[in-house]
Amino acid sequence: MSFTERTLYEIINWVRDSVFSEIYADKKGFLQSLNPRIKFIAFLCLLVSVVCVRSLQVILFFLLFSLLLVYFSKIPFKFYLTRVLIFIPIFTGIVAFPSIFNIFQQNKGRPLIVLYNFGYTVNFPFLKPFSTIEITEEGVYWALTFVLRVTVSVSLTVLLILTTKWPSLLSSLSSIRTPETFIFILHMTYRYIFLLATLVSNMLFSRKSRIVGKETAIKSWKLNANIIGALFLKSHDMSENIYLAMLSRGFNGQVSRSMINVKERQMKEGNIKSYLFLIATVIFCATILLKEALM
Amino acid sequence: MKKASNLWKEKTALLELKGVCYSYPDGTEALNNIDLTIYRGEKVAVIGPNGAGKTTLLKILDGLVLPTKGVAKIFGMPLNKKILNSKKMYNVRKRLGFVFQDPDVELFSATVWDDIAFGPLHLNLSHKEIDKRVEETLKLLNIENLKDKHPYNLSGGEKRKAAIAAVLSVDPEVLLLDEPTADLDPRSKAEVIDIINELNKTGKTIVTATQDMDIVPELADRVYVLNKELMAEGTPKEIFSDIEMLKRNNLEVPEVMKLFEVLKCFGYDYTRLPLSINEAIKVLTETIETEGGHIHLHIHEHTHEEIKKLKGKYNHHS
Repeated sequence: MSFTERTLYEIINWVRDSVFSEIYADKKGFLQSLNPRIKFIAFLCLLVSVVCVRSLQVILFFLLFSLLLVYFSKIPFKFYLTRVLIFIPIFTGIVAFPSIFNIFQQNKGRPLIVLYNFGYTVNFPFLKPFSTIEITEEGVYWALTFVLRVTVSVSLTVLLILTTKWPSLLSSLSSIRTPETFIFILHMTYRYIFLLATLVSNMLFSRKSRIVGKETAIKSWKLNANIIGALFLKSHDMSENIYLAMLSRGFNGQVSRSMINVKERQMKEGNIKSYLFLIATVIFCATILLKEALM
Repeated sequence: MKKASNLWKEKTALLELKGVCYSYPDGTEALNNIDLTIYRGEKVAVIGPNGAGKTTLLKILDGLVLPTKGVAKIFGMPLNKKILNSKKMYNVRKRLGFVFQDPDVELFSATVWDDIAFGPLHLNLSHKEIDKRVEETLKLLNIENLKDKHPYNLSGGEKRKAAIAAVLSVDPEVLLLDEPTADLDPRSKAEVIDIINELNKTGKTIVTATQDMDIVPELADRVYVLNKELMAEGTPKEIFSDIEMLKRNNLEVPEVMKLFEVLKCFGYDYTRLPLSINEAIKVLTETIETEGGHIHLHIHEHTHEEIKKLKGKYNHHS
């Protein structure tokens, strides 16, 4: 299999295993036992705090906290660590990499390693004049903070999604006054994105089964273009039919509030524990933020 | 309440098409000059080959699309563009239910429960009533165990039943079904047929579009043969007697019927030709009871010749 195909295949499988089969949301762990709405608000607090915090040590502390939650929610560490703690840092690392060099920085920093000394000032369009290329201490610190912050944010978000069933998650969104139309669109996206992914993988497999011999790059691109075209037509057709099916069942263009909240009765479980968790989280975040502000 | 059979005899026309034509935006003709009437309480099948316009016909009957030419009357009201976009249409669509061929189109919510609640939610019912309706529908189709499942995690048969439930919760008078037994295993197929027949007994009018000839005798009192134009109309028996017409339209007769014609070549002289398994059981029982407990099959001088003729008649190659 080519790189693209393998990547697609892996993504589809991972989403199917973790999100759609809801295996982790069904486990009897700590986060799973919380009321989804309160859990959602607690995680929102955590996320905002992580983004606001500046010190590397404090962000590490948040990471530790999220790992504790992973442990108590019975999510296998191996699964979680490989998905979150390896790939996300690598990708954000690529984004953050240039910022460790002095030539891309706004202010002058303490040099850590001097890579090249020109001996004279170089003027380069879009960059500040520089005479050396060096890795600065501040740059490395900033890049590390950035990577870690993204990692912890993603880790928390993934944790929330893994331990909550999608309908409950959307219901929580609606409880914090997210527009209903927006939630309805999310509903539909969740419902059909996987169907689309399965369709793509089936198309790729059916193509693969018909290819005999080596395929040139240009030919392969042409075939891919055909697949994208066919997919577009098919999804267009389907979306039209979905709209007609909705019309046929009385849809009048109005997304009613009750539509998303129909399963509210499910959400009144485990209240005391959830509130305790929320209070603990708020205190945790508030202390850390206050301490940072005072320092 | 009157029995369905009595209602049918009164012959109240619910859906009427007169001279209906439909072309796709690209100019391809899908339907041409269709005259068709659906009466209250009856079971009608629309049969036709692939691309015969069955789905388009159902969409017109459901008031979802307008014919490009001709008149479509739903509950006596002729449709036009103005009515189609007006609030009047909600009341009309409430009385019609359309089960699409692809259950993935029908099940657009996050759980089966939500999908079944979608229709009632738009009827301005109270939460309590919606709850009740959904529970009743789940029970009627015997799918209470599926209510919290995501449509992605359902099997084909479960999906089909959930899709039917999603439409039934609106409590429509007329149920339009597009290929209700496509992609189903034999058991799910039998279940779906039973459900449809039960619904008809409670007074619902059923229109089924299908190309599965084996289910037609069980699902229809009256059959329309569609191949862009209406080719024939009649009882299943009448339709399946006209083999030349069926052949011209890429259709054939139910397997049971073929088997009994084969049996005839071996000397079984039945009183009437059965179209479905249920009828076959009746016919066989009758014969055995009147002929002293057995049916005599044998190879006579014309058997081979007749079998050969029969194979030719149904286009079966040896």
